[in-house]
Parts: sequence; structure tokens; C-alpha cells
Amino acid sequence: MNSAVLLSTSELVIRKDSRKPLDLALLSGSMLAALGDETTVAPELGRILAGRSGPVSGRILPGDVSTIKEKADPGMTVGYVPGETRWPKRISVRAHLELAAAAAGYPVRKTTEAVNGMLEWCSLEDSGERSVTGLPREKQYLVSFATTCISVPKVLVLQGPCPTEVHELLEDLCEYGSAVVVCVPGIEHIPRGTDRVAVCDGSDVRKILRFEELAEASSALTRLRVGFLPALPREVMESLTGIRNIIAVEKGYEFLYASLSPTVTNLVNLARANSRSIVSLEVRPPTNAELLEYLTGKEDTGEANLFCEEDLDTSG
Amino acid sequence: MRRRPGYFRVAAAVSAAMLRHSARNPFLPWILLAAPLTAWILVGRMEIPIHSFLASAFTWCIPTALVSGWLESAERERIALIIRGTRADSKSMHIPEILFPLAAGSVPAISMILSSPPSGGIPWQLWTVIFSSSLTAVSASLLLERHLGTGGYLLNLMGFMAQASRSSWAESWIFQLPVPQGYTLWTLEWSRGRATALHGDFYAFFSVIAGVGLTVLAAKILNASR
Repeated sequence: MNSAVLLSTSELVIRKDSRKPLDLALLSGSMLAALGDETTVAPELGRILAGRSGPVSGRILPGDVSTIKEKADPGMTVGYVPGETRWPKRISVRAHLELAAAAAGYPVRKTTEAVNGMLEWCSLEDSGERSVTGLPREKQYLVSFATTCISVPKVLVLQGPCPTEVHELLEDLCEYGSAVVVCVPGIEHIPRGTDRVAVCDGSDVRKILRFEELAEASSALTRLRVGFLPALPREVMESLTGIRNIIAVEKGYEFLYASLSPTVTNLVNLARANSRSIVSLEVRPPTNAELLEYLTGKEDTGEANLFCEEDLDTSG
Repeated sequence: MRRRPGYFRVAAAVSAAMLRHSARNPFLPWILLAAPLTAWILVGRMEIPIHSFLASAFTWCIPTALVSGWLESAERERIALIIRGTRADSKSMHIPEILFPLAAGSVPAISMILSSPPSGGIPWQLWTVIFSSSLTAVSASLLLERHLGTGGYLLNLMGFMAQASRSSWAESWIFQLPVPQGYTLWTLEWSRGRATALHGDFYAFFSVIAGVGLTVLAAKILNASR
């Protein structure tokens, strides 16, 4: 796969209270998820990368920072799919796509072919003649996605969460060689095929990590919530092996576990042995704040701790 | 490789969207009918020929009707979203946003004047004023709406209605110059040999100044609100 840098940022400051400028490179065929809800910089980062709003300082550059042409316009190759948009009434899906095809430079005779191809790729064949306002939200998002993708952008920025139908299409785009940036409010919305995840807080992109690293952190923080009827005493619950950080919640307990399948088996056995029924069982992914705390708590500054406290303690 | 963008198709889509939007605009009957009729009937200048008055109304009211509410409309938002980031870019949208209302206002006005031309023929000042006034109508309406909201509509229509006033102060050049809504009617009156506050050259000159100047400002608004 060609892994050329399609878009890069240089000393990008997203908000005024940012502590550290962001240097980021989007490679061809890669997918980056910006993780963070509306209160974080994640949606703003998406808008800035798509050229929809300006950063506090720094630059967005098409290509690699080191080989950049100063006058190149990144907006020409960056597609943007907004999360929520208003749609004009009584305009069909096909009409939207035809306009997008015209703007993208398809000749008149090839427009129908391109539009039909896009409708088929996005599974919108049945909705082609329908008004967009009459479609459910997921389909409206797909129409928005299709109108952006008909120009085959080199970089595609999406404000999520995107419907699951889009996830597969994003992988197709990456295979084609485009770079994709998806802004998602929670880890459960991260599309499959994501390579890197930028974990954001209210002022910065705090950490960029590989998807596998995030999955590892997430599984370490994922909690299981179980409800018993009648209630199970805490001592009995604490006797269960492989669980930790037990918190009492309404009608049950919530805890961290080492491995899901043995834990559930043990829970069922525990309930049977104590003549209890399991009335609810829920796997709860970590919140963004928990994840951020976990990831940044593990951060190594890279500086050797030359002056340990005991060495400096001269009182004894 | 794909060819250059279909600018004409984009322009056609923008024009159609403006028409659709204006057809649903609740201010449309007021802009197109009530204001011109009120101006013509109530202000007390029945001696103005209906052809002249209609030409003036077309020049100003049609562009105003097309652009009022357009900046914040869902139609515009959607087209802007589709076009940005493509080869066509936003400018391919801004040009028809200005040129379509301009043509929609000036072409019927010229047809009206040609149907009943002044006895000495149509002077060059009138051609200039009609196009410049339509251009001013587009820009002034966008600017007034952006900065004053609904108050902007009112001010715009009051300016239009004031052109037919026969008050002595309304016939002075100090009043007439800042009211571009009336340039077409006053130039028509001048071309028909009636007494006007200024010579036709002045109306032509100031209409060009107003048209170009306000269009530069309006283009900034269009760019900023994409």
C-alpha cells in the first residue's frame, strides 16, 4: 500500500488553552479516530482538518511538512461529512448526488453512471428518488457521505457517530488509498479498521495511540455490572476469583474483571450455589475520562528519575 | 482524469434552489406585491407611468425576493456543503448567487422599458442604472439582512416605497443619493424629460459605485457564511 502523507499539521493549536501544539500526519490508506465528545477538541479538530474552521495557530498542509508546496490548497482534496445538517425539502437523493457529481467534474454523460454507482455502493438504490428529508437519520447520513465521496476525496473527515453501514465503506476508501478521520464521541463508535486513535480532552489531543493499545486499555477498564435477585451479600461476591474493584450498585455489583467468559461462568455458578437469579448483566465500556486518566496516568515523561525521594531524605 | 467542474450545472442548481427558497419565503408577497403597490397607490404619485414603476419594481424587488432569507436557508447550507472541498469550490456558488438575481431583476425591467421606450430612445444611463441597481439590490439586501435581520427587510422596503414620494425633501439630491432603490425610476423620469433632482449621469455614476462597492462587501458575507 502506498503510504504517502496526504495531510499533515504543523504546530497546530486547536484551542487557546491548548498546552501542546499538535503535529500529525495522515497517511494514505490509514484511518484515524478522534475520540471525544462535543466538549472536547475532537469535533473541532475534524472541522480544522477539513478546512471548515481555522486553528488558533499552526498550519494544515497537504502532503508532508518537509516537502510542502506553500501555495497548495488542502481544501481541494478534503471531503467533509458533518454530523447533523439541515436538508432542503422535496429534493431527492439523486438530485443531491447529481450536483455533487457536477461539482466534482463528472461530464454530463457520465453523471448518471457515477450517481448510480454511488447509490449502489452506499446501498441507497431504493432511496434514489425519495426526498432526503423523508429518510431516517442513518440514511440521511449515508446520503451526506455519498455526496462527499462522489468526488473521491484524498482525505475524508467525518463527524460521527456514523451508522454501522458506513464502517465498511470507510474500509473500502482506505483500501483505495484515501485517509479517513472519524470524530467519535465514545469508543463504542470507533469504526473497525481504525489504525490510530487520538484521545482528546477539553484543550488538547492528549494521546495518539494504536488501535490495539486502545483496545488493551479499554479491556482493562471495562466493567461488568451484574444484578442478583434476591440481593447477594458482598462477602460472597468478594469470594469470586479474578475480579477486583467491586462497587455496590442498585440490585447488584459492578467490578473489573480479567477475562469475560470465565467471569460470567463463575457468576452463574455463584448465583446457582447461593440460590440467586441473575436479573441483569451488562458490559460497561470505560468512559472517555476514565480512559484518558488511565492512559495519561501511565505516561512516562522520558526523563530518568535521578533523584529518588529516599536519596534526598537526609533526616535519618 | 476528470475534466473541469460543471460550472453551468452548479449555477443552474443554485438558481433553482434560490427560486424554490423564495417561493417558500413568507416575505415574498410583501416584497413583490404589497410594497410596490403601496408605493404606487398610497404615496400619491399616480402620474408616474405604470411601465416606469414596474421597471423600477422589477429591478429592485425581484432580486430582493430571491436573496432574502437565502443566506441562512437549508438549500444554501446543503449546496455549500456539497460544493466545498470539490474541484468547483465555493466561488462557483457565489457567482450565480449574485448573477441570477441580477438577471432575474434586470431582464424583465429591460423588457418592460423596451415595450414602452422613452421618446428619444433608451439612453446609456438607463442601461447602466438597471444592471447596477439590480446588483445593488442583491448586495444591499444581503448586507441589510445580515446586519439588521428583519429590520433590514423593513428598511429596504421603506427605501423602495420612498422613491415615489412627492415630498419636497424626497425630491432633493441629498435624499435621493443614499436611496439606490429609486435610481431606476428617477433615471427613467429623467430620460422621459421630467424634472429630477439630478442629471441621469449622476444616477448612473452613483449606481455603479453603489453596485460595485456593496457587491464587494456582500461577497465577503457570502464567503464568510459558507
